[in-house]
Amino acid sequence: MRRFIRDLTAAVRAESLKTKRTLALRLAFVAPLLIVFLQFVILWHNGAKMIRPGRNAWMSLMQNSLLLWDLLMVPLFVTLQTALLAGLEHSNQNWKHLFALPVSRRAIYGAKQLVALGLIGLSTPVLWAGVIAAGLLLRLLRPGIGFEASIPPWRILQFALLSYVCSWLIIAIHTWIAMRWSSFVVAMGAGVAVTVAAVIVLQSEYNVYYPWTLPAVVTRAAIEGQLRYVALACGSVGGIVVAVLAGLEFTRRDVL
Amino acid sequence: MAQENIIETCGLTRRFGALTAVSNLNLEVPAGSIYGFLGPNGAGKTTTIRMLLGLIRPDAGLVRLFGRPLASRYPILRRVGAFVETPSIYPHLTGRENLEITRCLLRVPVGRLDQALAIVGLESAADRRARDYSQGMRQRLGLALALLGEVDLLILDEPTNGLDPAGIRETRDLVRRLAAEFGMTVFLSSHLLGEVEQVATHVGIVHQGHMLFQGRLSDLKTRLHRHVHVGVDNRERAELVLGKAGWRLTPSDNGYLKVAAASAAEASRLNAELTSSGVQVFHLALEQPSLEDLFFQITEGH
Repeated sequence: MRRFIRDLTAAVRAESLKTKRTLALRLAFVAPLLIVFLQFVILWHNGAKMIRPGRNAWMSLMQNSLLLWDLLMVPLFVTLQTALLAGLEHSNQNWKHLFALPVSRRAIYGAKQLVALGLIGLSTPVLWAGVIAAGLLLRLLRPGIGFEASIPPWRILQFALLSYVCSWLIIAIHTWIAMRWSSFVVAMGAGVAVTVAAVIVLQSEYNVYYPWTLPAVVTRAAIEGQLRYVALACGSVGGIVVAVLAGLEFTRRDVL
Repeated sequence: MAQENIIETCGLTRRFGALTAVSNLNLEVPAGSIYGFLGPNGAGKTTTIRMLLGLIRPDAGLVRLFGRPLASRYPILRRVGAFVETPSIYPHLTGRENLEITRCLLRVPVGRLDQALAIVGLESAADRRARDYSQGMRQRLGLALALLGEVDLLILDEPTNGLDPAGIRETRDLVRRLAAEFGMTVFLSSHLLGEVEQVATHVGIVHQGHMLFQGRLSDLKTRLHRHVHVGVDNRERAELVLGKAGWRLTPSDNGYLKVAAASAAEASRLNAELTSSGVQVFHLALEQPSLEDLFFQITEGH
């Protein structure tokens, strides 16, 4: 166990070196800010109609941002990031080098998983900051639609974090797909397919069984005051379980 | 005193579906040797090397490195440096950054990085991105990656792939230096027989997954058929005389007669036979078989 932790630490450091001069870090900022920017434009254009009287403008902004983020951006963003991380090794056939080193293979997989979690995690406070910045800008540019109300920063952060924790299962699945298949097309194709399906599944009663709708389902219910524990557990703990199983599967394979 | 074998395999076997890539292989690589692992493409060399490194699990048989089974991977692989077919590098990073990643994983001191760069001669290019390297420089970076650890055994699979003659010679010189100066055992697989012949002390020849010969290169050369090239004035008469006396002639492409003869004494006897039969001999040379000749002799027999 001590060796595993040591190897994992070294592997995470190695991963952060590898992502230098790649788009990984930039994506973690661009993806959430893109969503926020879209919401900003919609409200700047149509704010008066979109925010009904009596509704909190900040919560509206946050809710719409989170919905778009959870349903569309997170699966695609996760797909891209995991494909990027795995592609670093696939494109140069580096597995034969990495797996012949006296380093735990599970630690190498674990490091990829942790870095993917970290990059998606980083986008959470960026999303939070973006929502607040967008709201403040709207307060300035569109007075009267409701952003004069006080900012609920902790509520926004709370829901953003909830969304992140529920997305662990998505991250685990896409990490495995990206590592297992060397083709970028397979990884992206899978990401696009599950995202398109998510839009449809969200409206159905199966939205608690489908990993890619879990963040949206849990966040939406939480905003309405109801915490869906089972769905939250599937997204979070389920994510950890899948990550461990996927890592065990991947590291047992021959490197042909 | 028995020399310790750094690499030993026992009945190593691996199949891919109906194809048996490696069959019952018993490798013995002595400590301090430069072992040339030879065979045509598809002979099972790369599969064997991947099994030595634990990248592929054998269907049967054992691998022992430094006398220990491969199951205890970590302490063993600490002493092994490997280069498998192509250099495993990240093109968007500099040479130094590439090495730093492996150094970080191996947890070896920072000084090893500069040492490895110095050994392969990449110090001046270390801060350029690997994508700007020539093929030869990439290969050298791949070798530097293999040399980062406390390496006693170097396993190289086709290290001269895609290199020009200068690059091939550099690699050859480096291999000799590593064995001589650093006391490393080098296990080198290649299909470039001429190159291997110049560095190897031992060879193992595989064909269709089977080991056909294993041992000292010098033993291989003395064991197999040698020839005498004879230049004569009357070729037809010479062939008649030799054929009647029981000498074995093989086709030759250089205008001379090629006669099977195992030693200098036999060559002299041959000369005497011809001249006493009235044939004039103007050229007589005992051929030292090249590794290529030996290789084809061995593999064509199977």
